[in-house]
Amino acid sequence: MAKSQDEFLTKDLNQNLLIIEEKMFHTEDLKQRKVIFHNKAIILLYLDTIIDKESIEIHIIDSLNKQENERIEESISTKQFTTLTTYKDISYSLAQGNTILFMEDCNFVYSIVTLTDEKRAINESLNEKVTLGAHDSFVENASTNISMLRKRVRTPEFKVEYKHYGALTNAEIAICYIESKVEKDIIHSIKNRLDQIKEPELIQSRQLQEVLEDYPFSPFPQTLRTERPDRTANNLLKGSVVIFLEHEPSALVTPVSFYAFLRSPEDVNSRWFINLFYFTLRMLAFILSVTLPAFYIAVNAFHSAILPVSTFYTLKLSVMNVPFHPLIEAVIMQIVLELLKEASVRLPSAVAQTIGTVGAIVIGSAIVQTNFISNTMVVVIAITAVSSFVIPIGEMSTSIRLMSFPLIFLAAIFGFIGIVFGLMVYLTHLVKLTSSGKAYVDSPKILQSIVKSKPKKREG
Amino acid sequence: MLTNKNLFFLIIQAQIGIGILGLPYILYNDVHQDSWISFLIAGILAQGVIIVLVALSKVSPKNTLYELNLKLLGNFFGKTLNFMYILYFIAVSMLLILLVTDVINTWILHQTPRWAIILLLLLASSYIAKEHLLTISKTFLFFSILFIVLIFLLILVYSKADLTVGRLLPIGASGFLPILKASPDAFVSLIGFEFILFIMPFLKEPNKSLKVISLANIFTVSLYLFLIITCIIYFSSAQFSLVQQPLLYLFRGLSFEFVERIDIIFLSFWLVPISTTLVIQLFNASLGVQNLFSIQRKTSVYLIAFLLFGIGLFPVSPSLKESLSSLMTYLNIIFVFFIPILLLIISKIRVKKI
Repeated sequence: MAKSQDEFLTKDLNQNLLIIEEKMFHTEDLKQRKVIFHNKAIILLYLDTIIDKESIEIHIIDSLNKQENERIEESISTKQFTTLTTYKDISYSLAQGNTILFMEDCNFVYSIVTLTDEKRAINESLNEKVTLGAHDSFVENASTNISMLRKRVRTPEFKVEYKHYGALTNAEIAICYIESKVEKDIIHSIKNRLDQIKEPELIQSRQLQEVLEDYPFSPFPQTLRTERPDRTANNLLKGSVVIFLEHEPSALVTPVSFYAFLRSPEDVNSRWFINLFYFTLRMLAFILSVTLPAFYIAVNAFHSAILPVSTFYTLKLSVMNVPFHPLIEAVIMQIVLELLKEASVRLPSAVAQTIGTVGAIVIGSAIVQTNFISNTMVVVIAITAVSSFVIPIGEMSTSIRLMSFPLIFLAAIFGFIGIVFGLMVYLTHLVKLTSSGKAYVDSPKILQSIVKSKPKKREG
Repeated sequence: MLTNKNLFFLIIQAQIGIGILGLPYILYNDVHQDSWISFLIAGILAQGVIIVLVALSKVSPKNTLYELNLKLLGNFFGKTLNFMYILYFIAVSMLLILLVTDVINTWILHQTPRWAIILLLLLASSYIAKEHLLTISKTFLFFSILFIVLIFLLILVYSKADLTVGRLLPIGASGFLPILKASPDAFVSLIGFEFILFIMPFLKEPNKSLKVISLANIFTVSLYLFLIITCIIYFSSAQFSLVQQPLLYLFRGLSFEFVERIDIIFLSFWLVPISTTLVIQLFNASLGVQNLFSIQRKTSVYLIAFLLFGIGLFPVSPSLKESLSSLMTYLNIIFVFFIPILLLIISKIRVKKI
């Protein structure tokens, strides 16, 4: 690499410092400390805001002041450090939270890792709760997250690779996988895809997801974003690749199958028939939340003939005084529901209870008493919402709830036929999807997996 | 690459479709309680045709029929035949669309305009048909759950109604010739296995294709036989002359605590196997268009769908439909049976010459 002469450090300490300050655009949190070491002036340069002051005092300044060793390397040997020679490297190193050590008459510097280690304590997962099983969840620190995985998968085959992307944010990505389990093609294609990240502002997992997914425009997530280490470890052992983005409290798992979104780590941790029961329940929840409102509209508007007489009267009595077409009813109720949900998420938990009351009493019963929405419609939408909340991954749950809208419209126009054709297209779309080249929805092997986890009979 | 499982589901979905709704009625009007014998003969005939078709596609397993035609017949005749095949598939699709819209208009949506139903049907079918063959076959695997539902419902029929097994007797009363004459009608409803001519190059194990397709044929034939026999012992002959869609009337008799009129729900869902037949016709035709005019297959699927929609806008009188139906019976037999046999003979002669 041919770099112009003035990009390299010179032996003139003051000029070096001036150029570095220039390179850092005279930011005011760039601080200097001067130390004398064996009669040589040493300047420490660091960004005051992201370094650990204590570590500078103890590990660098104190050990330098003791003046025990002749050489600087040995004086500061307790910490990791590298040597740098260009201004560009120095400025980037400063921005990463390193301390730069300048010496008189020296055309290289030491860069010492002094990044502050502040992090949130490991808490219980907020979005993916379980009753049975581990309660830890990922935090905003990739190395802590990886340590949680390493503690679960203690094998030398667990491999971590770091990469940096984003010209501006210079974000660190950790790619973790188990060497013997993962397919070579997959890891290769994932790395290729990551290399295609062109955005200078890489800061959110979503940006990674967009690059990693084969069909980024699909409504269904093809990479699993989870905050549970046990779920991640399970997937890791199945041969998936786990990707952490620094400062994101979640792991991206790929390739992943559709069924993984319907499972909670709790299921795998339970007896086989409980496992089967919950899987069936979630499948039912999936089907209900996609089709139930559409089905109700179709029955109400087109096919009341399929109901037995008694049920027919119950339904018609409930709908009798409602002035709207069932489609309008359903859309109104869905929107109200989304509003309530969104409001309760954004508000502090104490106020969110009020939303619950408002939702249940004011909207729930008053809207029926004023005959805007029929009782049955409220029931249908409530069941739909509850079913969609059963899906353990929030991303999928929202997707599925929104997928019911096209079916609602089709049902209002074509009745059952609309639903059937809509479902046909949905199914084809799901089957078409791939996650890192692996099939997203395969013919369900749930039976095999249950049978496998069934306790084996002991002989004798 | 298609595995044997994929192939099996492709073939049964291609075979089973709208025919299942009306076939018992058509056969019963010809040969009464001996319908099932006619059907069995048709099934055996179909098995023979399958052997011919597989032999033909094995002449050069790396090519589809369209490419094989060009090789065997030369550029001009090959292209003409390919064009005829494309027209044939479009005609089959058209007839299918006409029949489906009729059934929907009489049973489910009485006032919805025909074009709207055709549009919906074509949109959904071409969405599937434009995908890769592997994706198509995987979706078909999921759709095949409906066959289990059908069998389950047929078994439920036995539990509910008073059936008279004696209606099957006397066996063979219609005479041998009428039974044989009725079998082309039955044969038409089994058609769908000609699909093998176009998917041979995509198979993982082309050597096992004959076995798999025969298995699929056996499945289809036994499903139909079960249905036909159920219909015969369920309806009296007076009833039979009135019910054009005996299968739906079978289910109309079923009622449960919370659902009546299973027939409407069933028919709505049965549109899936019907559209899979359409998907396969679209696939075949688009493959031909791709071959003939070198247009991308995806685009050609949309083109054909657009064409079908355009034709579907014209009003069709019942008599025209009738004559079209009977014409298609002959066309089916020509294109699925005679032309492949001819091609097979030509290929044998050619190989000897070389």
